Amino acid sequence: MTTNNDFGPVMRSWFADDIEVLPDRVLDAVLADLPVTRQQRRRTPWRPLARVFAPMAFAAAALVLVVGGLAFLADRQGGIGGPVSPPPPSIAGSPSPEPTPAPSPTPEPSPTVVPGYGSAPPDWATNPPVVPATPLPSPTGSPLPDSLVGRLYNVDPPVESGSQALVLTLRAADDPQCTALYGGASTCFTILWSPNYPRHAQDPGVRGPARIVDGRLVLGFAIVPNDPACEATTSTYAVLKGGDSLVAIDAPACSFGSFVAH
Amino acid sequence: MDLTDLVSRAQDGDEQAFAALALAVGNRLHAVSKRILRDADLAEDATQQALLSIWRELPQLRDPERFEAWAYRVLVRACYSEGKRTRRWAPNLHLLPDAVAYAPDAHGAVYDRDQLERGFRRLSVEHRAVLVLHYYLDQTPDEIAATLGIPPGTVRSRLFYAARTMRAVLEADERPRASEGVR
Repeated sequence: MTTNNDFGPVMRSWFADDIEVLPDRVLDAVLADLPVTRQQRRRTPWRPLARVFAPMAFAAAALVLVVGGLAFLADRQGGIGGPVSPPPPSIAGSPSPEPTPAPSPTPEPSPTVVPGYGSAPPDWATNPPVVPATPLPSPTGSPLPDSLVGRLYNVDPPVESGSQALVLTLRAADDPQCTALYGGASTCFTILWSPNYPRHAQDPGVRGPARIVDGRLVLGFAIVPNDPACEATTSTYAVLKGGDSLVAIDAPACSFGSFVAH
Repeated sequence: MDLTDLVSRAQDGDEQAFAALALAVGNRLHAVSKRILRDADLAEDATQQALLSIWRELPQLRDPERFEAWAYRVLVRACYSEGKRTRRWAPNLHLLPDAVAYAPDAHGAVYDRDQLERGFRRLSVEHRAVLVLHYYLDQTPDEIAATLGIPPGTVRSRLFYAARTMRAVLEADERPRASEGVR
């Protein structure tokens, strides 16, 4: 019988057993993320010197307000109408109109990585295709329509880890990921941590055929390296709002209830 | 340069100071996350997430001397977050191998890792966290309360519940062994 008195030593002994060393790759990943991770602003502590400089600070602030206000009025008189919203993230594979010349110089791209958008800088690592050990069976149904090929979705609600999120990508048959699986014979999907730099601990993620069966999107979980029990299962989704929303119509044991487009 | 200096410099955005700081505390944080989550991959993710949160929120830490306790709070929060994801694609649990004989108690009973793992996994991440802070970091209930930002009464309640659950599992395992004359 374990008593109150002996429970503590048992737990202490158990916890003390292993020596843990943080793998270098984790530290490397953290340090690589620092330049794109903005620190939250420090709350300015109240210092006696602040009293001395307070009048000067107020004067400077007033000057900034006056100059800013004048600049704003000048801008309005110049005819610029309203704020310019940033362009939406491009979706590979979807038809896009010819770019129109910008009326003003394009701002520098922000180094901030938006979680879940998969918008990693071009020199960041991407997941390599995974070639199955044995040929995969030909998937049923028909290929994805062009309107779905290349679309990116966040898991809904988002599943995030640090600056990464799980992203579903519907891919064309000639996409390298699909070619590795089906030799270019089928559209496919991946669910990967994105942006994937330098590498997420749980990658490689899920891969398999993405097909249309009876008007529904069917994701076949062909390769699930971290959970082989999920392999060969499927999840069926209703394609709603022109493909902006995917909602499960079966109970996905290994997938997610819904996805929303980027 | 001591830890407090590193914290102060990292608060001002010095990435090299933060790298040194992460190197200094990384193993300790990882040891705690591994013990709470009992899964190598999840623990790495939690530690990574915690270190990034520490970097992001560090300027708001008022007293650099309190860095370590504050870091544990951020880490436990990351463990809660990772723990919620364990139901999805996370069965790659690295259970500790072998039923190694373990920790004799006052009555000479010997528990093995499997028994302890089984009992511990029955607990929520919140309950595991207080056990780890108490029995691994040797924090008192009041210190745990300060670390986690919860009332001391809640800490005591969680400790009591967690210990009771662990004990119940260990005792349930002992019964058949006792009837077989193992003890």
